[in-house]
Amino acid sequence: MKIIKIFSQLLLVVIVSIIGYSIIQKDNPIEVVRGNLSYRPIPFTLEKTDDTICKMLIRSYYGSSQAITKKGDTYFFNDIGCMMIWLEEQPHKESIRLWVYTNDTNRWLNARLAHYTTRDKTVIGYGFGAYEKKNRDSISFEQMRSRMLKGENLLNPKVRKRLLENRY
Amino acid sequence: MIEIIELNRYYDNQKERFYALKDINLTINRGEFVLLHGVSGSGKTTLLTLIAGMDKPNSGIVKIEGEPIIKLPDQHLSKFRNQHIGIIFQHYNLLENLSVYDNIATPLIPMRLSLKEIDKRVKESLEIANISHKANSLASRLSGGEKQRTAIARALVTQASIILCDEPTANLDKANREMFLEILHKLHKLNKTIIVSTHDPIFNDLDYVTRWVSIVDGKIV
Amino acid sequence: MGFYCGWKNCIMNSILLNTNIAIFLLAEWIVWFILFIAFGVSIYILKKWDFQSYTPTQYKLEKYAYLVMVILVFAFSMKFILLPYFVFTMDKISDIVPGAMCSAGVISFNHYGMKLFFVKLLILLLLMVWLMINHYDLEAKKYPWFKLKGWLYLVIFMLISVELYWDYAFFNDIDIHKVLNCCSTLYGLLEGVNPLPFGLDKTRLLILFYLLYLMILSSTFSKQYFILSIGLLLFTIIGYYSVLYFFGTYIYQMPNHNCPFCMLQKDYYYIGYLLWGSFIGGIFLGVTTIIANLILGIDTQKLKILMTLLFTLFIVICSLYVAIYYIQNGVFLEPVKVEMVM
Repeated sequence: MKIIKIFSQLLLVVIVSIIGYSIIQKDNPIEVVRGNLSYRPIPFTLEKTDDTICKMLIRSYYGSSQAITKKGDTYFFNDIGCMMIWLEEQPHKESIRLWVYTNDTNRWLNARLAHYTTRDKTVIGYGFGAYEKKNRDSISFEQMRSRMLKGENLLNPKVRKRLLENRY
Repeated sequence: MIEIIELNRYYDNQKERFYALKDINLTINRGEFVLLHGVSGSGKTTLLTLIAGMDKPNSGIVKIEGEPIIKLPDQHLSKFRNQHIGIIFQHYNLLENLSVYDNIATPLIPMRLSLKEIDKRVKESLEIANISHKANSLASRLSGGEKQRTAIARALVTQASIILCDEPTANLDKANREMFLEILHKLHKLNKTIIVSTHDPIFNDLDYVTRWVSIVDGKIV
Repeated sequence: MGFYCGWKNCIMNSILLNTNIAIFLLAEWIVWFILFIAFGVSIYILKKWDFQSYTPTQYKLEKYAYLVMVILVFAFSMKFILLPYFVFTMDKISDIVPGAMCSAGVISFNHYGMKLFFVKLLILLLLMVWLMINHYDLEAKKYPWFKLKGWLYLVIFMLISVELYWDYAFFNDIDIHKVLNCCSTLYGLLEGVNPLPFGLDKTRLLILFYLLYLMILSSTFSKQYFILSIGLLLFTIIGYYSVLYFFGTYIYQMPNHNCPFCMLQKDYYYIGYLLWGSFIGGIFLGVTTIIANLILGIDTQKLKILMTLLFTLFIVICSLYVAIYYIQNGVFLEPVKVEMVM
């Protein structure tokens, strides 16, 4: 009986050690960062951060975006279209700071001030690329958001052909 | 020892309350031979039933060897009754389809004894009750006296210290009644506590009766 | 779509007319009703109970107490049958609800589902504790835990009443025109995310699985109830995840199929009932054993042996599926990585 008691205690020590060691080593991708009251975009680690909507790892800053709520909760997206889907479900949209990574100047820019193309190759495939400089085919943030919510993007087969032929 | 304190058993109907037993106080020491005497309906059988724990009173206590048996949960009460109390009923209550031997062995089943021990006890009881010659006969084939002796053997087989008899001679002829009395006398010599409920005058002349208790209209007089 | 039930514009969901649901709800109502009677009598008994008394009131209470105990043992036995029947019912209606492939989709349909399921498990655990206390209370002759089990019953009855409402609300809220999630959406691996608790990987998870089993056995029979408590708590978590993310895949023979409910279906010979039944039964018996020993001060050999048998059955079923797969195929299952094509 004494041997069994010692054996139980030994097992407990081993089990707690394994769990403790695993907790220390734990390395899950980030989905949200809280307390970002500077409302500035966070330089998140690629392949360690998840898109809030599609739950995929963000592997490139190209096409990525961030949304920061009034409370400082920062959400990440690997496609601007995903951010628009997320934004639609939020209350107090105007108070949310939106940032996009521009494809021409490679920096974070206020999404409401950026310009958007409609035929870019993006991660999920919605087709909206963010640019700091306006060009002939680019549209504003509100136009991009409206098109995204109406389904007028590259993932819509009815719209895709006309978009690619520049007839939309 | 059996202690009965302020025992009451009554039945309520729409108009009134009928007392089968009222304010019974009685103490019976070990080894006593007690006769409960009274006419039919006086409460003798009710008192025996309450002592055996086969019914619950409305108030009061029944203690056997210090154990308040009325308060015991059913499983404990059954076990207590099996080990301490043997009952001989007026109408024998044998299992007609079983043999005499099996009828006597039945109370030993819950005691989980070995087959050897069961056989030993059954044979002893058959001997005391003078029914050994009928061990293999079916209970349905016995005469009244033989059935009564089988019932006695069954009451003894658990080595119970208390034997309760409810009108044991009511269905017997004279010869069998005398045989029954001889067996009771044997049991009394074995220091069993015996309580007999009867209005048979054959018990009037017994010199080994230690106490007479008369019950009239549910009260001890 | 519903039907008008004729009282103040109340509309009831027509899914309530499904045979399995109707039987289930009717059974729940009947059990609740007889427990309601026992509830009323129990309050009366608890207020006036005095075992040392020999008055007519106390004798009456003892008769009522016996009646209540018989009712409760019957009703509680029914509850043990109704939980698997609840799961079976959800599995059956997954056939008529779009998107749901098994109970997983149905149970997560609305906010009642999971909390209803957990309340049912909690009720079963408390019932088991009550039955254990009742057994030893009757064995003790003087009903030393009469009031404890009385109050416990009142708590159980409250939970059963809440459960009854949630049963109705859950099924009434199911809309067969709405697409549900299937288990791959609910339990499927999120990319890059380790779903296992404490940051464990599969190897460590399995090591813990078997070590915890050994620890539960050794602590039970060496009467180390504190270690047993920790063991049971951890085994509840580790056992669940082990089945979900390892052993379950061998039952389905699909490395990415992680669902606790699909194994309850006919396709898998209903093995889920035996597997989860032995797992949950073992946990509950373990908790009951701890309560018996620490609170009542009773050493419960029978409960310990039964718990051991159930856990052993659970371990054997899980291990056998892996062993049989390996013997048949010569390899272990490997998870398949899904890549997005742009």
